[in-house]
Amino acid sequence: MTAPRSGAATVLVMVIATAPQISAQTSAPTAAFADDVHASAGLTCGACHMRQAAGSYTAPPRNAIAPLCATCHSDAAYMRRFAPQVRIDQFLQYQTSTHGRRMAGGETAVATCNDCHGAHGVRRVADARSPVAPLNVTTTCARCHGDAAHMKPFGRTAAAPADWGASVHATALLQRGDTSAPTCAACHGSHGATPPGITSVANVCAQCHVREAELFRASPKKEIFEAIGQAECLVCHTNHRIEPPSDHWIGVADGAVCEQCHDAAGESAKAIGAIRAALDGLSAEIAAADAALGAVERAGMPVDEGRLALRTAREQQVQARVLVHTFALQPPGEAAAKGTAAARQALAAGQAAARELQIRRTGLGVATLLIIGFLITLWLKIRRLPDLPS
Amino acid sequence: MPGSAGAGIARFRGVPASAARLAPTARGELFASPEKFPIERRAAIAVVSTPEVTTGSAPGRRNILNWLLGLWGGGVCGAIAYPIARYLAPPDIPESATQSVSAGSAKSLAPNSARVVAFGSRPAIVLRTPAGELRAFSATCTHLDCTVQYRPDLQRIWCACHNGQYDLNGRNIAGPPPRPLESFDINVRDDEIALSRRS
Amino acid sequence: MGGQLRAWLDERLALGEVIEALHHKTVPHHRYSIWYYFGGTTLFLFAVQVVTGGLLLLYYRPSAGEAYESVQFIVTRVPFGWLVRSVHAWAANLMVASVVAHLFSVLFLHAYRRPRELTWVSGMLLLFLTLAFGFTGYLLPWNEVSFFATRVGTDLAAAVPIVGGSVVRFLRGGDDVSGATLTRLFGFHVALLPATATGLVLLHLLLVQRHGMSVPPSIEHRATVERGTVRAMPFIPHFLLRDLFAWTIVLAALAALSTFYPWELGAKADPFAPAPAGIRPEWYFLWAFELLKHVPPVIAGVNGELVAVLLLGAGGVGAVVLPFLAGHTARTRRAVVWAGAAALAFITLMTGLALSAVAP
Repeated sequence: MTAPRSGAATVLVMVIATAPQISAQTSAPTAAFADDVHASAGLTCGACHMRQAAGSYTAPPRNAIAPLCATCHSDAAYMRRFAPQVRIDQFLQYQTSTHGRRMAGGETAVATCNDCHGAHGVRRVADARSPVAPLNVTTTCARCHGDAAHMKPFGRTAAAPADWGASVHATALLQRGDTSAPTCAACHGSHGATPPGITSVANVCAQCHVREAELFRASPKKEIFEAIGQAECLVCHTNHRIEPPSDHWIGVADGAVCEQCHDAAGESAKAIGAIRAALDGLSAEIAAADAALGAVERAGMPVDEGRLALRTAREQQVQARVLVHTFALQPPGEAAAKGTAAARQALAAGQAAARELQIRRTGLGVATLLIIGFLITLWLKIRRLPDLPS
Repeated sequence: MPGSAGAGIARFRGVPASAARLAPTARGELFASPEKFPIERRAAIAVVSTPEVTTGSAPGRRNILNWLLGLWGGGVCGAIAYPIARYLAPPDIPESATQSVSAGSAKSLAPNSARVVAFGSRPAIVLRTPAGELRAFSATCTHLDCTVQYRPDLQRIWCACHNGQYDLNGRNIAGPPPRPLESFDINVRDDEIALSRRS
Repeated sequence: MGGQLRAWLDERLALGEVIEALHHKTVPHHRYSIWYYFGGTTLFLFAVQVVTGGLLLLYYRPSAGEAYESVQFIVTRVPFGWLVRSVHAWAANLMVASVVAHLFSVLFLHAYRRPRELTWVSGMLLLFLTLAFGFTGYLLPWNEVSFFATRVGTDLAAAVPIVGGSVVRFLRGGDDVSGATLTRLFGFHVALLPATATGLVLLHLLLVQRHGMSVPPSIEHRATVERGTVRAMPFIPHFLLRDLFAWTIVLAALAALSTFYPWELGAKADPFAPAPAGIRPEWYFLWAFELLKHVPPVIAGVNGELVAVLLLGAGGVGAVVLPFLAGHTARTRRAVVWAGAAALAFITLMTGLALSAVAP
């Protein structure tokens, strides 16, 4: 590991490239450098292309790039002058990462600093155009990890980025703009990028899905999974292609996740069936209430209280689904029961509104009958009008 | 001579050219008579009149008809008057509850605790800070619309869905929520907490 | 007992003369006389509006913060509030349709001729008042659609030359549509316009009673040639009972429309939200809206919108003073029929275009 060079010495090495001598090869990188965050800090070509003559800069060898960047970016005193709060442990982290370890072992077809951050047009992470901005991270990682030809020599598939793209997290991030949704770096780390091991993947999920993690760890499954060497969370939800979970995952039929370990003959099959039945029942009650409320709303009857009750029912449904992670019947069953009660209230409100609508139509019918009777009598009267005297 | 029953307007057809013109009334003319306006002398407007005064159909039948007319007419008037009368009586809840809603007793809300109530069709959370102050916010999490709750151990408003947290001023301070909670005005009248929207 | 009451009243009010005269009043009866009923239906609908409007006033609150909620309250909590509100909304639309039918029937049957010029003028003013009632009332529920429709509608006034800006500020109570607009239009809708309208309606009715019903020239001519008389029916009871028949049918239509097609509440207006797509004013203003959309930007060197507004203004003024311009001779009457038919066709075409252009 090279010792960090003094900041002053680096700044003194400034070579100004004279325009007419720039060859075609370097003109393009130089144009991009105008937008670079290093350029606005006052650094020029020679700051990185050290001991090279102007006009004949070449790229450093790939295994020398990270240590080169680290000469400044791991120097706390130096970096503080530009960004007081910036981190300086990126190189340390990199060295623990899979990329760093392989690079140190002589493999150059793995990522180093410039592969993700760029070389001549480096932008801050917060800049939306940066390749490592939250919305762009997976595109950047996919350049290698989504390229089957590139991953083959390492014995890996290139499915992960595409799988992530089909997940709920991608939908949240890319379609709803929810930047709290995880990209590659959120679970794997950025500089220290390493797949979390089987024992630690659950900690990663638990960063956001706190409740589910707490419930799972208090449940009997935790010890069982440890014993059989299976990762929490992943067994049912997979890792990259995390799809919206559905009630029909619970069961012992084909296509259900429980079926991976449980079969229809065991004791647990009854409990699983009961949990599933409670959730299905709640779903049906909510759908019925929603249909009833929707129908009367379209007919012009406002049903505020019904909508509130339905909202409560939906929240209880979310609760019940979360409580499935206790892997016991009682907690989800209780939440489902509360939800069912609220859904029935909503349905009752909808039915009351429908009855009111009927009453109005009946009232109209009565009024119309009276009017028709009046009209007929009036018509007869008109027909039989006497003449006036002359 | 045309028949008396059902003659009504039929008598108007075939007005004889010799039919008498409308004569002005003896007591002066308040309403149109053709003589008043020269332009209409060209075509006299005549009322049908036949020499004899007819009293139309038999008195009995006419009385029944009038009686029926009165009955149905009364029915129609009733069908109009009934809704109006019901409308005029003030309803049980004299005012709309979407501007302001009651949130229960103030005394029974201890410091460092909260209560979720309905405000219109959405939930609201009323809390008393550990220092004793009352605050109220919309209880809909700004992340994905779950209903938040109060965590006395954290002294924060917490959303169970994705661990979002808000401080006691409703500001989003941890987790995914992107915006603070909407806050409501509180007034306490005789131990009753009243929430109203900030206008 | 009824006779005693009548005598008592007659001694004090001298209504006997009036009633006696009414008994001698006649109404012409010919193939076009069905159009005589439209004036009465318009009056009936106006009365319905006064009654339902008065009822709504008991619960409505004319401020931006409470208007929407008060209408919601009327429709959900007040017994038959939904009915009163929907009747008021439907009767407004039927009244506009009725007044337009009345206008065109009077036009095509040439009832504006001497000596009925003032009746025509007061009637045209009442037409403008009816449209003003519709425009001012539309904003009062303070929902999204009405807020933006009012904004679009008052924007049209800006196209008037010289005074356009002042007119817009006058209508809006400020530079933009706000709570001040609501209060102002409410004041117009429930006080200023009804006062003016009542005066004009009384004048209009008085004139109609004085002149009687006009007979179209063709009917007069035929009657002179063939018989020398025009068939007629007594006002009381023949015409009156038929009028009552027509009014009852309108009442039945109002009840059915209000029950099967209740007026919706919509979403509360948010002045800071962007306008939703497809905002447009009420159907009776659509034709003007569509016209301004299709007008080329420049016509003969002058701003296109300005030209359109001036033409509309000229058309309006021309319509008001029509009896002084035409109607005396058969040739002018033919011209009026063609002009009226062209105007009707144009307005119908524009309205149809506007309605079909709305994206789902």
